[in-house]
Amino acid sequence: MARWVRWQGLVAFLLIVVGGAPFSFLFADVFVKQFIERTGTRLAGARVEVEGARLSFFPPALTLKGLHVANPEEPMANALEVAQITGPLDGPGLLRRRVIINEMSVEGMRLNTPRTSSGALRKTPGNATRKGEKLVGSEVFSLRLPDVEKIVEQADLQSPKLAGAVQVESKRAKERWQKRLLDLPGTDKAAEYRRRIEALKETTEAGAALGLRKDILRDLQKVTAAQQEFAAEMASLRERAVQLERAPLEDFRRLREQSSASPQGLTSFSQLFFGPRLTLWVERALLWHERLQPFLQRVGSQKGVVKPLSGPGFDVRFKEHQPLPDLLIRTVKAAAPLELGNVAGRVRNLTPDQNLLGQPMSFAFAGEGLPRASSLTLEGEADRVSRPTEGDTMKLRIKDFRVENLTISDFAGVPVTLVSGTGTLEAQAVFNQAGIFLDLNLAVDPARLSVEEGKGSESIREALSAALERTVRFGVKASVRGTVKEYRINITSDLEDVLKEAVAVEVEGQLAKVEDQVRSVMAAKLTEPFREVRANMEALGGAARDLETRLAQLTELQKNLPQ
Amino acid sequence: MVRLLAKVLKILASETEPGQIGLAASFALVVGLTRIFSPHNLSVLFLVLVLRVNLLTFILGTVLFSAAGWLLEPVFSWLGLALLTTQPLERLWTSLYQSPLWRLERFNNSVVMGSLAISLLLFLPVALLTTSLIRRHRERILARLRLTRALQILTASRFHSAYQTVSGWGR
Repeated sequence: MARWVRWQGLVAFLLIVVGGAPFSFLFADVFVKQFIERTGTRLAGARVEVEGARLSFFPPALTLKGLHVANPEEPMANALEVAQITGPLDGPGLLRRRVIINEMSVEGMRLNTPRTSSGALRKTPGNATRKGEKLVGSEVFSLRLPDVEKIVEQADLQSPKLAGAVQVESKRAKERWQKRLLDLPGTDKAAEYRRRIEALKETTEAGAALGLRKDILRDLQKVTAAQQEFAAEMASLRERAVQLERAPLEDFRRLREQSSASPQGLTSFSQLFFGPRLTLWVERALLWHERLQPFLQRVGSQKGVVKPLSGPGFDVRFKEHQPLPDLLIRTVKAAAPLELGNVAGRVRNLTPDQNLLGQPMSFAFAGEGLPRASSLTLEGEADRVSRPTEGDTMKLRIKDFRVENLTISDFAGVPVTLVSGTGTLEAQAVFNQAGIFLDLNLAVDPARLSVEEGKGSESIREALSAALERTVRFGVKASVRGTVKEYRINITSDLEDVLKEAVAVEVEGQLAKVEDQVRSVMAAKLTEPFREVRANMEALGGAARDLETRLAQLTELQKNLPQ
Repeated sequence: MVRLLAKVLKILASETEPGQIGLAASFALVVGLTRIFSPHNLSVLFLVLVLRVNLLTFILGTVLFSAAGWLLEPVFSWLGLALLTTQPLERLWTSLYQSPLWRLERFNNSVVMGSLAISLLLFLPVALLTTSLIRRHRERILARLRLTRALQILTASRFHSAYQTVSGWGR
């Protein structure tokens, strides 16, 4: 026995276990803190920090102090900051590796607070590429002259392709007919026939005359056939040349449409004016919606196999006698001091395993008698219980909110500020398998707008200034339709006519410049092919004349044959 | 201080029979390849300390196999998922899933299951192979080591004499 057993080892083991238990209790807080920071950072795509975590065992409860979630888009700001989070834990659940909190209270929640150090990650997780309507990116919309070379380079232009094809076709036709003319009876043959006619006059042989007639007729038929063939080919080539002449215009028309620089594009000034800011909001909303997905639903490749919230591999779930989610917070009570005033509410059934719970996550926040608004309500639901009903809904209504010095647009580098105004905003959003359905309605009455000095042109600033400073109220309606990856924003506003009138002249002027540039770039690209096509066509014209001469000579010879 | 260090080293380097080293390597395989903080590794730790196995081999082996485990994680995940989703084993997994202890073990995670399966599968082969290798090469390697200059300097040092004087532990 002593040969195999080390009794001192038993003592050492007991020391480790007995000493390890308090050690675990002592460092449990550190482990919890690190777990939340690590998992949160991975999910948020920016640094998540917790100032302190306390895990108590009797009774089991968790307290987090100073939670900071950095904003991935603005690393020097926190998207969310919470002073304290507390919640009792379900003890038996913990033994089964389940974190179940019946009521969690979130105190001192603040949004968009500054950070002292950057919250950016060295390696940011990739986000799905979205293709929102390119309202913001269009350089024509920003009234800066676009890189025309680039536009022409990237566009799928038909004229250079057609020019290349016609260039080759005309060259081949020219070469073929040059060769063909050598084989056809020409001046030499005509001279030979003249000699034979002269010789015929001195002879009485009837057969010789008949033979000559046949020879001339055969050559005449040859040249006639060649001429007909040539005429058909030339007709086709001329048609291609006409197409080629028209192609740059067609390309240009398409380019205008593609770059939204068409007059149709000009009809939606609301889109240009409010689009960039709204697109930014939609992008942010979609990004956060995407980031919240792991809290609402596990990533799973097949039934029963899910990606754990933390750690490698996959978790396989088997049937349980009493199925419960791995993480469930039944109620989160939260209060947030927003710019408008304090808003409080509840989030219910927060879990990534809604299918096990059988209930969707819902939220409802409200603020009454706010310092800067009459009321605010935000409510919604994220349903991941079963596939057919899966989807998210959200309704927001802010009544009579007061705004001061809010930049609402930076159209063409000219900032437009809502100096003061009272507005009502209503927004409804549905995200489901069919796509995104977001409708937004904003009415500002009264409104006082001002146009600031910016990078944009002075004439635009003056025009906008004159138009907008008379505005006392305005409304904006927007709708977003499509999928999360590819959506379209449609914006209408009663400022439409005012804006159009103010900047139409300037925009038209800029567009005319762009058009001129596109024309000259395209002309430069097509000059050489056009020149060669013309040269080939001229050479073919020479061939046509040659054929006519030969035909005339042979016809005359046929006429002059002695009867 | 020198005596204390020598004592620790003596304990670590004791139990140098080939079988004791082989067993230590196998225990290291289990701890190294699987999640270190798991209930089964507490049992392994108990066995390592109570059974007369070579602790130095166990420690070094754990480091080595941990690195290998990190590299083999995708393989573990694949194998674990295959085992966990095999129809004939479903009843077994379902019954284990009801137990808090097995849930703590996190056996239903593909990486945990895969690494545990591989380490258990290789436990005996690694023990036998290590024992056999040590038996075969011990004399040859030791003879060569004794001739090296570094070992001659070390054996002449004060630390070595302290190391030689400590006894009683581990034997």
